[in-house]
Amino acid sequence: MEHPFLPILLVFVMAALFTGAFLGLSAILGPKKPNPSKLSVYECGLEPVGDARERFSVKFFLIAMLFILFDIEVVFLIPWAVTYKGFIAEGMGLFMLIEMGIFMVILAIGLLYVWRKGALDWR
Amino acid sequence: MINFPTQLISLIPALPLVGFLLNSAIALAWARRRKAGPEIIPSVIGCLFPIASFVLAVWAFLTLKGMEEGASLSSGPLLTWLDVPLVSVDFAFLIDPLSSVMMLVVTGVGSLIHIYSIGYMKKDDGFARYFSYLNLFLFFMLLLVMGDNLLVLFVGWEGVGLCSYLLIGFWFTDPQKAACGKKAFVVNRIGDFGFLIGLFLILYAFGLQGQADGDPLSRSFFSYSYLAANKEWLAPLATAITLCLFVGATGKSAQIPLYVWLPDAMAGPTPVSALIHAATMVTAGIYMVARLGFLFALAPFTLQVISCIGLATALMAALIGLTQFDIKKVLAYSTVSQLGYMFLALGVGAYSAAIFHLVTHAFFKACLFLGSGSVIHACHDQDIRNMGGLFKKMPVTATTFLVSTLAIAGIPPLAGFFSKDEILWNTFLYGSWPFYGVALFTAGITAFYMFRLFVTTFLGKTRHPHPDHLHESPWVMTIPLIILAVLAAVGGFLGVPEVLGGHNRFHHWLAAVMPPSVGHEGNPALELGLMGLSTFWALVISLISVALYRRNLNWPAVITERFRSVYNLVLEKFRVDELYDALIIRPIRVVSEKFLWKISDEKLFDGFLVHGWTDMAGFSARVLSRIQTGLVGHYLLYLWVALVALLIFTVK
Amino acid sequence: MIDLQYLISLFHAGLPIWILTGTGLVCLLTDGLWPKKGGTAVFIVGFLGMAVALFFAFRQWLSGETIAQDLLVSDKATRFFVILVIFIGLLHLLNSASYFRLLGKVSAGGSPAGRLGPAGRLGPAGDMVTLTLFAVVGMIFLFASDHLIVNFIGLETMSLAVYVMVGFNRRDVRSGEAAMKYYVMGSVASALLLYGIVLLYGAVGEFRLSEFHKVAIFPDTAFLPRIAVVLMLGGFFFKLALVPFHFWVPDVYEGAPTPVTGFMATGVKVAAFALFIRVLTALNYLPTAVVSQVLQICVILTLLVGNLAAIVQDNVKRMLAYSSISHAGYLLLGLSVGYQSGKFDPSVSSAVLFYLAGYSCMTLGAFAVLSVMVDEKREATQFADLTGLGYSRPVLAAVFSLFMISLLGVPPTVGFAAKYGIFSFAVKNGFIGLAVLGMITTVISAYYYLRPLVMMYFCGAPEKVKGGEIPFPLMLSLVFCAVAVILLGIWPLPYIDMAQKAATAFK
Repeated sequence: MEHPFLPILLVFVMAALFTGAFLGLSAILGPKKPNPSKLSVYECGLEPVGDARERFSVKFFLIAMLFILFDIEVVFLIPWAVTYKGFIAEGMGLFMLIEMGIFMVILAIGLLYVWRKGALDWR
Repeated sequence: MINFPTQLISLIPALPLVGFLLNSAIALAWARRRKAGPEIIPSVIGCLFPIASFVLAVWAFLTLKGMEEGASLSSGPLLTWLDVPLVSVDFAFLIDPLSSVMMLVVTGVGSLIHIYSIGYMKKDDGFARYFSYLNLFLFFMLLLVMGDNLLVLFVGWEGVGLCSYLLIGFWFTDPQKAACGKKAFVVNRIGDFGFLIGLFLILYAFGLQGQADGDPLSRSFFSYSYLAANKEWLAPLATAITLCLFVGATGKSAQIPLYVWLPDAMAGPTPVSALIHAATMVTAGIYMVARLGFLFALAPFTLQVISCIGLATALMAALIGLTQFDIKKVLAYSTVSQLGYMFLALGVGAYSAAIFHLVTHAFFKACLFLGSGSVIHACHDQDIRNMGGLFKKMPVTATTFLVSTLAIAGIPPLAGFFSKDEILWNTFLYGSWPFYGVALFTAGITAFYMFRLFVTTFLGKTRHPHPDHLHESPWVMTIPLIILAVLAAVGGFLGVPEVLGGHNRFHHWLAAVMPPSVGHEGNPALELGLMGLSTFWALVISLISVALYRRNLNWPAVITERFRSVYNLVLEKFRVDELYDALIIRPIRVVSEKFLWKISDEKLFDGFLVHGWTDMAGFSARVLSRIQTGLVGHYLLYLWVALVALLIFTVK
Repeated sequence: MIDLQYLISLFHAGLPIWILTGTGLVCLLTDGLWPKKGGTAVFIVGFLGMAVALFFAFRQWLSGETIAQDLLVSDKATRFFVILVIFIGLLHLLNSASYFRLLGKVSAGGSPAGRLGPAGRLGPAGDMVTLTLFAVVGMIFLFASDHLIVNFIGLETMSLAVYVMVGFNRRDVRSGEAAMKYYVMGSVASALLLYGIVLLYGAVGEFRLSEFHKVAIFPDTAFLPRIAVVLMLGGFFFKLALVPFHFWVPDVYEGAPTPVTGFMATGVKVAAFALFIRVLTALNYLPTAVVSQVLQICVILTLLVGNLAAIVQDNVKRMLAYSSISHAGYLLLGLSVGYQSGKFDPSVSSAVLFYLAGYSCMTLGAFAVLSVMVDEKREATQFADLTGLGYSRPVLAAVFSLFMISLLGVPPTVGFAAKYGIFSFAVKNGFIGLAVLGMITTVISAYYYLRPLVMMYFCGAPEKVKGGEIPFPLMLSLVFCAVAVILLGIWPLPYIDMAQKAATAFK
């Protein structure tokens, strides 16, 4: 009797073998003729300016975090909306609507707080 | 009359506590402002609460009187204080005939002395502080006499010791007075140590009986009812237990060998001496022995010790009292002597006689002390050689003083006569002629030195440098004096013996809670005869004393010249303080300095045990703090290492 | 259909939680609507909300019946801890109410602090109140459920709030550093715990602790629950600050604003211990006999390291951080003596519960005193700052001494009663060695607990008086803690009784 996860293991092994083999082959067999423009970071586009490890304004992180927060809210709404018909069938429609309403109100309070505290101002 | 509701019992001690809290708040407020406010507030607070307590106590007493014999009022357990497998203790109050008598004395005399203090402490910087201490004292004293078990008694016992310390050293800016407070405290601790060992022995005795595993009710070893009901279990250890408890009593009630603190306690304000060091606190030991009378009755040896010590103290203190010139010191030694009488009564098994004398003594000694306070208030001096002739200047003080002097001397029909005579009679019944003889002799000395004090202070010519300044004290001071003098005069009628046609009501009142006197039935004729003898003896000695001191104050000089060494010995209080100093204090100091400090402490403990260990601990601590680099990366590494170690350990 | 009956019982079971959550939202709203000067209003709302929640928690405690609803557990133990953490939250509100004002007032000197800097405001900081409320809600969820995922969500709610609180003092670099360290280390610990939970689920197919006795373990996968339990222990030990998972503690405790340190040392620890006891009780059904040895090793290490390292500190907060480590060691000692032949007997946890209550009082009190120690824009919590405090601030010094001797465990304070309970259990169950170690380390601890007393009373007069006036809310909390320390020490019976009732809920 074979293990149910055996095919997955096989996929892993195959993937590793193939990628390794082709990368190795091209490294060994491929012709190498470097010149300055080939060695630059991008072959086409803008020349890089300065170091990539630059200090960002903390505002970027703040906005990013807030984005993730409210993004997840939307993500949570989708499965809820999809299964809502099922809730109605069970007679739980109103209840679930109220529950989601509470959830939204809590988030709205959070948004209000963030906004009034000036976290959304870019200054 | 409405019966006293038992729910109110805890109010009796609680009221002075409220007074204490209010007054200490005032005292703190004054101290913060660095300025004393109007004295009327603390005096009203300080006096009203004790008086309210007194009223409640009277009510409780009357209720108890209306109940059948042997009944008592109990508050029931107010709260469970301790409930461990070893012992269970409830915080509860009990009012039975004995504690009701004590309550009346404590709150009654206490209230009078509070009122008196308003006049005596006038314009003192610590006015509010004084009243707060005094209220606190009343609270603890009521705890002591009202508690229904030995542990509550012990709380009160320690509490009154604390208040005594605070009040002796009330004028603590004077280092000598502060030192007196310290001495009282330390000497009392020695006694308390014995008391504590007694308590532990009781626990041990019940433990021996395997009583330690029952339900809480059967583990309340310290409650009086439990002790009384199960005293036979204590019988094997009774002598040891009672001796230890008696050591505690000698400390608190100033008996040989621990009496030395009481004369020094006179450094406190005079009303304090009257309340704490004459009327109430020092009688705590007598109360305790009487309360545990059923236990002491199991230990005849202890009773013999008590009677011997009581008698010796009575005699010795009376002798010292003969030679003192400080008005308060004379009264202090007189107190020690009278307390000795009470212990003598306890020792011969006459418990109710001891309590009776306690009550009458509270009346006349409080009156005497307050009278002396009045004199000191006027003279600003305590040396009787600088007084004299005060009778005309201070008639009320002098009259009340005279009444009390007559009472303490045992002149009928004043209070002291009845109570002292009962003790003498019981001593006689006890069957010991020498005891009776010495006790009678001591009664004579008492009469002698008291009249010496009275005559020197109040009669004759004034020897005060500023006779014009002398004046009678204000009415707040004289009224308590008058009330106490009346009590000292008529208090004896509480217990008129049967041979004089009385009913000895006091004795019957206490009979329910006291073991019966061990003496034999006496012959009424003999009793009358001895009564006559002691009356005659007291009268004669008093008259001699008055006659001698009226004529010539310096007559003792003749005798003292002849018996120089004996007189000096007595004058220097038998050099007991010096003896203690040489025998106990100095060796202890030498041992502690030369051996315990220099060798044991510095070399062994500090050098090796303490510093050795701390050096080691310090070293390892420094190593540990070296690991603490403050870098998160390192911390994470440690965390992983620890986790891997744990994994290997558990899974392996 | 909607089961109304069910909803109502759920509402009753978690009443304090709903109240606290609601109050938190109201606080957030208030703070959002009046961001500039709503601080005082937020504080009042938050305080009242907590007080109401406390009232209902007490009513639940008194009512007696147990209502277990779905994911919520509402037994005696839970209610005991709910009361305890709400108390801690209330005291923390009082402690922190004026802390930033003190810091701001002293530092004012004309220029207010940055626009968003809470230190610049003169009122209490509204965010702190909100965060406290949410942290307390998280704490309650941490132990008020026997579903491990809910516990984990509670842990995260609490931790996130506390991370922010640690970094609250934005103008102080050390505060930010502490927050960063705590956050990084704490995420690792959370991950450990979560990984443990998931592995446990993989091994036994069950998240609910109360169902563990029903699961069957196959011998060939018996190692899985062990690994899972070790990972979970790692997470717990981190939150409980036990050696060797304690390295973050001194840095974070020192850097965090003083009242927050007090909150972390008590609230977080109490909540984590509550869940820890629950988990230990459930583990009896798994093949994890080796846990008792792990606990004992940790106790020994914690007692030694915590007490020894505290000796050489020169900052009182850091000293108290190590002290809290060693107290966690005593608490763990109390739990580890509950093991008899590999099975945990939860009845010993009554001593631990009482210890937690007493420890919370004295620690919060000590940090309340330190909250006043502010001098020239910064906290003055070096030992040297205490010099002569006994003369310049006699009341403050007196209560601080009280808390110190209570932490040391001297009668008649609660510290003694609590330690006595733990050690007597240790002796009774035959763990003489651990009991002796506990006593020896207690003696060692005398050195660093008495040092503040020496500084305050025997090192001469201070050059200048450190610390501001004691504000009213702080005075309240000081009085409460001092009274509690003495009351629980002199008359511990009713509270031990409470703890015993609570401990019976662990079966």
